[in-house]
Amino acid sequence: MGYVIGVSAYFHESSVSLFRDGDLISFVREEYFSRIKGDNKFPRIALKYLLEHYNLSPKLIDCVAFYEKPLLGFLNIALHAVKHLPASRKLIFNNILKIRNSGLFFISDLQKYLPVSRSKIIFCPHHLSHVLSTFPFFENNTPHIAVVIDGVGDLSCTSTFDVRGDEIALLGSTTFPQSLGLMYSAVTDYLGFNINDGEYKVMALAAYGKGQLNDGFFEVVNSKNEDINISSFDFYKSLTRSYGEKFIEVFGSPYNKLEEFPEIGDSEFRRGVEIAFSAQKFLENKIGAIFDKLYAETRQRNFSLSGGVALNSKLVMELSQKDYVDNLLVPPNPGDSGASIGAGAFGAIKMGFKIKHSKTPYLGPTPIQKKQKDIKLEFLTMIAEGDKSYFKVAELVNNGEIVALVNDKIEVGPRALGHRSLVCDPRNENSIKKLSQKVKRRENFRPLAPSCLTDQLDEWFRVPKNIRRTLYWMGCLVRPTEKCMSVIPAVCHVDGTARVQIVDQSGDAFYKILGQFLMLTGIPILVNTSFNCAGDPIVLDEQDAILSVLRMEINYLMIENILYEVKK
Amino acid sequence: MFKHPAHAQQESKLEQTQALLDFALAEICSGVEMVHAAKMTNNKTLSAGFIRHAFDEYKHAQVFNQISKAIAKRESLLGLSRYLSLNAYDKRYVDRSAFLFEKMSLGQFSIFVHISERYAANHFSRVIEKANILNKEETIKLNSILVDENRHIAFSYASSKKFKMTNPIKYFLFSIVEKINLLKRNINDKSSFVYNFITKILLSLSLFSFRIIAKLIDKTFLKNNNNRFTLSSAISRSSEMF
Ligand SMILES: [Fe+2]
Repeated sequence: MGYVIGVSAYFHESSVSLFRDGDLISFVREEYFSRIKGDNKFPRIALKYLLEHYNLSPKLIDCVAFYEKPLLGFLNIALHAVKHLPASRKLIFNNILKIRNSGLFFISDLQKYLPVSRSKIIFCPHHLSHVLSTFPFFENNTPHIAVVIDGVGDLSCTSTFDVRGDEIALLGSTTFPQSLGLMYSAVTDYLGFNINDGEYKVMALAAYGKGQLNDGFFEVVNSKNEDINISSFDFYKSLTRSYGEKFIEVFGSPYNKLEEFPEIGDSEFRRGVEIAFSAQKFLENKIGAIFDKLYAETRQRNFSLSGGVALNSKLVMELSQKDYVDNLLVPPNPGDSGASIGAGAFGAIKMGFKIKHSKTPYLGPTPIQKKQKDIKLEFLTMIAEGDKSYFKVAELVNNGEIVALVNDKIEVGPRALGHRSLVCDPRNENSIKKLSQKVKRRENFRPLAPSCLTDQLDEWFRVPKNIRRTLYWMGCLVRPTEKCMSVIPAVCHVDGTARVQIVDQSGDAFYKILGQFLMLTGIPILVNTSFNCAGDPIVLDEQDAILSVLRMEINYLMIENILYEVKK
Repeated sequence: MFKHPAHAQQESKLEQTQALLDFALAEICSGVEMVHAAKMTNNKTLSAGFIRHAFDEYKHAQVFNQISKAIAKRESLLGLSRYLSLNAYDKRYVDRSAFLFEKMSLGQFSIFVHISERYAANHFSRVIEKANILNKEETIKLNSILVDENRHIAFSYASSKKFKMTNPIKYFLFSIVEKINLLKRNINDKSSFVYNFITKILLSLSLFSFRIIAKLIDKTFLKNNNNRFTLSSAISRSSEMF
């Protein structure tokens, strides 16, 4: 006994988390297994993995917690849509036609794969799931203010909580459709990117802007008494469009979703970046004001930020620069897929357990699955193992190669942190260009992130103390030093920021590779991007890894500390 | 490609292009099914073969995707659906409740792949023949996919034949069942269209009553629910869905 399962499903990437006596021991996203990016169905395969891997029977499980109140969420959205009939009829039809894949059916879906009694199934209010998803990642039980901002939970879009250990009290909330998250998603939609996926592209674009459209944008979007001027948006009544007619009147025609975003230098690129800049600025101002008000009212200097908006690492940087913030923690997976961790924590607290802190962001399955056939030698030739392999990776990278790393447990969040990563030399512009454009097929306006050994950090990046822990999972942008800008400019974005990851787990293969690269080149930094083909989830196991190196034409692959060359 | 797009009678340029984009999604889904088979089979050679097959499917998806995007740009087409692998569930190229290899034996799987690939290749070659939106280079690229597909058909035929030798009766029965399933899927596509249509009419009629219900909910339910709450109050109400 002592096992509690948390579940997030039906909206963003579904996931399950497992707690044992209050300790978060596993987190699994459905898309790892299904290989369908953004998979939001009931996480049946992820759940099956947990049950098999930890030998769990229904008897051993104390409770299963869902990450929202499904009936509340359904009624809340339906209510607003009905108010806006007939404009909202398509949205209503769509929600009703898709009702079978919704939280309303959680109990029957769960019992199909895990026959627990109804009394063991509980529901955690959505924003509370977000708050609790930060708990395992704090270093200790620090009292703090928790700020949650997402598209929409079961009821709220923005909530603030006073947190003192397990005493958590709601301070205030803003309800749907007053959503800063959906404002940003509407801009994402207008700029031709996919909602729930393209928001980080908007953030990257914003760095190119100068603020030329700020006045116009604020006039369209701002509301005196509320967070946003809802009449400029359609997300609460339209199925096909998130932004309102006002956007088109003021900013011109929206970007074509099927075309690539215009090239840097193009006039359409300039128009887009200015809109992105204003949206980013608007978000930072609004959330900055929420923080200011919270500090003025509570004098609390410790904060956590969660909800999908907390993935905006530029926003996190701006908040961390407030002089009253002593500590700002953003968990490794602040969005809905990570909220299964919060739901699990909710269940564990209910069962009387204390949540254990200081977890690493590596909590998923390892790359070698017992049941699978070992087909490595069909496709790969072994080059080196053990310590030699780390040196060899450093040497290959120094020679301009891109190396794929698949070691140990997969990361919790959307960012690869060395366990499922592609790495290259941060000094080598050709390698970086190849990795970004040819291998990953990323837009050329997006920078690649650096990973740096923690003890060398200060020489290369200016890192405020209050955000340091969040850098273990790339949760915040920082300013590079002049040395960094001159030696490895490619890891710095056009606005003089970098999304650095700090690495200091001495037993970890990625730490050893960084160490070898430092010895060889004097640089403690590698370019690190997630190991997945465009449009795919991050690779999970060796079979995914083999297929992906073939598809991406990568020549070198490390699996569980053994380095291989891909056969031609 | 195991499950083919439903567009059979493409007429307009938009429909033709949408069909190509749907082919891309169907190819990804076959890739996904193959990866799954590679992970589940207990035969090493087959596992490697499935990975190679998946490689081809993903490559095809990229070709279809690039070509449909190029046509959309060239012909200034608007209204194509977005290309997201998540749409695979709604289009029923992948089954939410089980992957093929989870619900089929190896023998059934090879028969299924053989029948579906053969059907899809025929369907696809008809689409290329009829299409008037492709340039020469694009036609060559698409025809090269057909070459791969024919190779897959030959492989899956060889493997289903092995099954036929050892289990001729089962082979015969599975083949019939799969052919019926293929037919059923096509009928389902059409019937779900009718189902959606009828649902929409019924829903339109009941929208007025929705409004009255909504007002009631608004007044009594949601407003009460937004009362300030604490972790302990949430725990005490944790079994409720609202
Ligand atoms: Fe959320």
